[in-house]
Amino acid sequence: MPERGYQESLEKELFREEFPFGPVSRRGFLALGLLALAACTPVVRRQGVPYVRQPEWVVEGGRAEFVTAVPHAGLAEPVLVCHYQERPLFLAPLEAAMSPYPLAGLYALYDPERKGKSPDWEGFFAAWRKALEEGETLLVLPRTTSPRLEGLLERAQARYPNLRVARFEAWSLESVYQGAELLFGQRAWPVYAPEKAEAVLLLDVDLHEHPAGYPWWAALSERRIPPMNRIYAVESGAGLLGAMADHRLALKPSALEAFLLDLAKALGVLPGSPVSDYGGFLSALVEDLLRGGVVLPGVHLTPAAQALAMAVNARLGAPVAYVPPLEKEAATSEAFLQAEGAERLVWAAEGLLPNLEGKRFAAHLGLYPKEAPHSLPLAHPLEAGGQYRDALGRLWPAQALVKPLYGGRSLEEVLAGLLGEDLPALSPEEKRALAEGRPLEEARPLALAPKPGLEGRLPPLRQEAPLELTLRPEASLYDGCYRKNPYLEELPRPLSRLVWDGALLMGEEEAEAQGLLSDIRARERRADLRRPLLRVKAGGREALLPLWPLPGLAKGSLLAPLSHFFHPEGVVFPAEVAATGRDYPLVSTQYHGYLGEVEAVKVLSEEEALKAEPKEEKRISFYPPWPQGEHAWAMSVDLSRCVGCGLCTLACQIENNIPVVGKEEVAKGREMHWIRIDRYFAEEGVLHQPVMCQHCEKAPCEAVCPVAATEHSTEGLNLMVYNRCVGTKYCSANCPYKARRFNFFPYAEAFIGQGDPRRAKESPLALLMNPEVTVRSRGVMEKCTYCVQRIEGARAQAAVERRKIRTGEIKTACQEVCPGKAIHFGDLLNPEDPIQAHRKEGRHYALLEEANTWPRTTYLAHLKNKNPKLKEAEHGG
Amino acid sequence: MLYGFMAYFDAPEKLLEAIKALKGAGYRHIEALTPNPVEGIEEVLGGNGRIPWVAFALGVLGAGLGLFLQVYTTLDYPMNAGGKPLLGWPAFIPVTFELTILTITVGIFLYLLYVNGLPLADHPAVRAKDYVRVLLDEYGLFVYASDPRFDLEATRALLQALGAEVEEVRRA
Amino acid sequence: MADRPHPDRDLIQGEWTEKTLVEKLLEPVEKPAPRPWRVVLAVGGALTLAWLYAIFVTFVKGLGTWGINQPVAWGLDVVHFVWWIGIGHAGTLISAILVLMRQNWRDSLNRVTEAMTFFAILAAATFPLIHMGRPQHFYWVMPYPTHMALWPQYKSPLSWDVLAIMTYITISTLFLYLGLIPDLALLRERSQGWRRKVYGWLSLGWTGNAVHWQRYRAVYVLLAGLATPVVISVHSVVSMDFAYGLVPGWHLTVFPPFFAAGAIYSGFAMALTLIIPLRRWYRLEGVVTERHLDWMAKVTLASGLGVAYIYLLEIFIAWYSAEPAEWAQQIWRMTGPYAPYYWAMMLINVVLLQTLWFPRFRKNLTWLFLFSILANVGMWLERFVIVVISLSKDFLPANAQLYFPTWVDWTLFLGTLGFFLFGLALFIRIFPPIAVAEMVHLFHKLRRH
Repeated sequence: MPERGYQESLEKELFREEFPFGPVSRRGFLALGLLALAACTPVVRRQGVPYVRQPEWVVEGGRAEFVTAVPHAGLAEPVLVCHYQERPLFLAPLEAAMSPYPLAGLYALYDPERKGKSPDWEGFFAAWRKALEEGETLLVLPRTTSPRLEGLLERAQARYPNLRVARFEAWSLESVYQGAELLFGQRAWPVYAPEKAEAVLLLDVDLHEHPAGYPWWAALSERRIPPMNRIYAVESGAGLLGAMADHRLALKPSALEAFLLDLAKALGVLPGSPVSDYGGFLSALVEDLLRGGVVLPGVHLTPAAQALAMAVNARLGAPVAYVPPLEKEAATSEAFLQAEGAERLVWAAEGLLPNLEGKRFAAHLGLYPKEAPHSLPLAHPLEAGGQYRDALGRLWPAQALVKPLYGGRSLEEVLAGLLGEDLPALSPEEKRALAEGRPLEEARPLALAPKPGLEGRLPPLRQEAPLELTLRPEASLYDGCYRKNPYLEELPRPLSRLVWDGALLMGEEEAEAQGLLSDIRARERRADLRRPLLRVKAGGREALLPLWPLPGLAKGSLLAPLSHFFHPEGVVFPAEVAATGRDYPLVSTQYHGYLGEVEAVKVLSEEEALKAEPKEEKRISFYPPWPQGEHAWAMSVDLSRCVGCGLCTLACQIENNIPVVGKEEVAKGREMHWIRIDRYFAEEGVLHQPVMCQHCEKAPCEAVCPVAATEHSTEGLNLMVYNRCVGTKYCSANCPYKARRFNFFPYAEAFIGQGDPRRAKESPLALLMNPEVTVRSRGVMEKCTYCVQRIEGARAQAAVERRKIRTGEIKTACQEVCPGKAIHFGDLLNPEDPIQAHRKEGRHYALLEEANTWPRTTYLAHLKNKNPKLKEAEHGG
Repeated sequence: MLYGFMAYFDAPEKLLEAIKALKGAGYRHIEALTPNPVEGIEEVLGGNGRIPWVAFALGVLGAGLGLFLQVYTTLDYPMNAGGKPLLGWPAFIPVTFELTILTITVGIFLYLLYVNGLPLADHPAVRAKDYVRVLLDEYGLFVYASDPRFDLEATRALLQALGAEVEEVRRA
Repeated sequence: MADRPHPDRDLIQGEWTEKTLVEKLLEPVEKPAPRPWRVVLAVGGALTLAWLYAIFVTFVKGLGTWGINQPVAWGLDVVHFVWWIGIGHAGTLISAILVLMRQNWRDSLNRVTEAMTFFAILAAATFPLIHMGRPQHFYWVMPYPTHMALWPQYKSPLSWDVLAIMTYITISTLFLYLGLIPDLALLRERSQGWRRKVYGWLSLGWTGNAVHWQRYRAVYVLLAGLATPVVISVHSVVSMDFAYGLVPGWHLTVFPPFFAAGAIYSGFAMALTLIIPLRRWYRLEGVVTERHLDWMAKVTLASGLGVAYIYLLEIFIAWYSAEPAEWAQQIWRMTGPYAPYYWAMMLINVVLLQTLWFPRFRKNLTWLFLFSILANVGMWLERFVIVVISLSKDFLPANAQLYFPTWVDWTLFLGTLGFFLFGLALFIRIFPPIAVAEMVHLFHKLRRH
């Protein structure tokens, strides 16, 4: 086998011949190496060409990684796609963090539901051109940020004057652009660098509600360990980011904007003095912000509020830069009304569909076929190339990783088809950017200065109403566009831990005022899943939603998911609720949310953490130790950095072929997620704790298996031998963490066969399964394996290359995708591994230490950095 | 064909005396048939099966089997199950104990059948018309016709003198 | 010949001769069956069919048809397993321990209770088989050279269970059979034709040879002596299924005596449930006297008091241990959603049990019968509390989830009840429900004095 140096020179030689534009970085190499294969394919629809000179170490059909950008709500998420056996099977964030949607979108890639009738593109284009000749034809696009697409649109509009274009997005960014215009006189998009701030004010924003939400948490989590920043949250909702705050204030939307006004006055941005101090909250906040703070506002606040927030940031000298608006034309929800009124419509947005009846020409372009005169498949983002801007304003290229499975085309291809053109192949710049894993274009910051006299220009803020409803994107379904994704449907929602349904969230005080709380509590006690179905009226529209009371919401603040209640004219309304007398069953994966006396999640303050001595782990045993292998795998989970987003759950599910079991089975308590996030309501706030198999050295589960189906490896892994398991379930009963999952039905086959185990053999969803992980049959127990397939893969690779496994070479799936980098997997026998430092920290502890199981997975306590001037964590509105 | 005499006694003591008398008179081929165990039979008729000794041997065998089974299987494929020592002897107690009992139980039952000659397809005494009485309330003594001392009248007289009701048992 | 009457003289009441006694005891086999027997057989048979159907559904569709989930991975299946095994222990106790204690009153009870044990163990043994996720591989718990070169894991209580149940059923069956042999010989002599042949085979040609009897007696007493530790050990091993685990509410060293006491309690209660109607329907009041029932009630009381004491001890231990999870479990039992089951168990097994102190209640056969059924309900509730309630909320509050059995769970239970009754009904039709040879022997002993 060649040594490293020789390999490098071989790389260089290859480059000189195949890609004559100079050396490339090591990072991009592997992607580049197989890029030859991908670059020849789908955009131009040629057959893949095998290597003319294949590098020795490349195994066709083996693992490869590619860089691409997957859009979510039109904005790019740069990802590293793990390709195995010529198909994409896993996504990891290329930069700091990504949202769950691209990863879960792998399901849609292989979903046979996407298969409609054989698409007749030429027929569609002919019909469209005919409609364009007849009269105004509206093309409704989702949010697009691609300059190439804009260019195609311009040319199309030039050729077809009747082509009208509208952009639809249920969760719009228009408010932000207008806010910038109010303050700076120019539409712009703020880009924040929260890692540079000492104090952060989160204003009604959650992870998935802002395009930069996940990268924000990646940045903020760096400062949730000493030296800590201080996070304040003022919100009308109940979000994960707000849950991580040191101090949180729950206010109704109107009160929130009044608060912002008060904050502006306190900081001197506006004349006058604040109306209220909010129980000391405001003054403490102001003091901290002046030390170096930033305000992170949600995108749905009114333009006035946006302008105020931006003005405050300017006053604070906060780490924020402004770039041109991400979209050429902002996508708004009003486009829905336009679409409803149009006589000729081509609807290409996801999630919602207006009524297409009675139109002279109606066409639907989407991932999934719908009932429409023309319904044509769009390509999945992994099936087509494109360009997308990310939340930081940078332009990323995207490449196709697999030929369209169901004949779909990207929007760019559709427009090109309308024009009768062919899309060009990837340009050399795009190829290079993809190979190097960097954007095509960096963001261009604008030099903006606030125009004085804001108080004169400020439009009126929100009016108060007894009940104020905010329609927010659902954490899993977003605005409904992921409704067909079972991974996302079964991902427990933040704080409520609901699955498979959207609910109306109401604070406990409000639910009591409505007279509904005691009945719900009684039902909770007897595990009656039915909740009252309420009719919610807002802004002239209404929806039926079941009620789920949630601690922490302000009185009078209601939350409804956009996926279940859409209003074209906005997202915050005064609302009315009325009982319908009917019930609807809501399923949650966790019903008991109070810690009691069990100290599962330890919370410390920063000084306590710094002062604390690392406790010697109590290891009580009169048994001799077992021999140690070459490595001692262990994991540490930093509860200060875990925001409870659930990406680890999703990644584990996709990596390990964990099936989705459906609402009925989850209701019985049979969800199959190997790693779950426990959520506790404590006085410090909401605490999250990811729990997976702890790989105990004194595993209670191993001792009780009668057939030796679960044993301990010399490297510290608790091994689960699927083919030996007879399913007595004693191990599950004996696990104090309840980390094991049992296949009560043939869940995996049912999942692959879309509900029918007998159809599993012919289903394309079988392609979604990771071939390196066994698909478990009925009657077999399963659990977290520390991604043993990755460990073994790394071991094999190291053996091939005649070296040891490098520090940090093995990343478990959960570790790879965590935005907060909360999970760390490492080797206790490796002195360079960061896990050594974790174990020596004062805030290090093992879960359920008193059970004496000696778990290899340990936790770092949750840290809060409370302001000593503020006594309580939460204040009323 | 005469199989022998069936003598019915109404008390176990009478039976014991009769057996002693017959033994003293030189009869060898006799059997006592009773509805329940009778104290003192062994002294007169012998037939100590040495049950306790056999049971003890079976117990040792069973315990050895149990220990061997567990130790061998554990050493044959040694695995770490819960961090417990490989040959943790307390964990081996239940199976060893149960196997001991099982071995003794099955073994001693089979030994009982063997030493009693069961299953028995046929026995001449059963052909006695009143045979069922020895299963109920009377104590029977069967004298085989094949016994060298057997004599049709003398034996009958002896038995009747000892207080029995005598029946000839013939093939039907 | 003693001067005074035998102290146990009133164990057989009424004017009997050997002949009439034997006629009476063999009535269930030789005379047409009374009406109630037919009803029990029919109901038992129907329930057995339902049971087979429920097993079929379980095998074909999967364990998802049951109510078990995460965390309650063991539900009614294990509750019923333990319940049936516990019931079986009375038979062995009556047969074996009372023989060693030379208690004459066991002689009229032991056949029925041994049969009860036999069918109870059969019913119990089905549960571990069908509760497996992959029952087609059940034989992997046996030590044979496999193609995977793997052996069972002998440090697991479930492996111990395999041996314990096997031993228990073997010793119970052999003991029952051994006791039956003289009666089968009697039945052989009293029947003709094919019945004679069948009884002939079953009796192994037993002739009543006195020498055989001596060895028989030695083996019988030996088996009794072996069965005694088996009673204790089997239920201790079953209790270890729980005590070995660290679930709060399971992890107690007091479990083996707890389960043993509970087994005796529930076994005697079930024996009462069977014997009180049996003696009425077959008019066996002469041989199963009120004194017998009184003794059984006293044993029930004694073992029940042990059980009740341990309930209170559990609460004390949980409090004294200062283990948050243990105490939380006790509070969950007392005040959680399953609290009614816990308090019903306490009511029956602690409060109502005390009525057995008073002869007025013990002698009231209606109350005794009713209480015997309640006691078994109470023991069912106890196993429910131990298995289900402990699992439904253990260490981490996030794991708490309730358990709801399905129709399959209930059908499996009622089906085993039906199988039990069906089997017993068939048994007493083919074999005498009261040991004839022993009763006649007892009769002699009592009358001779």
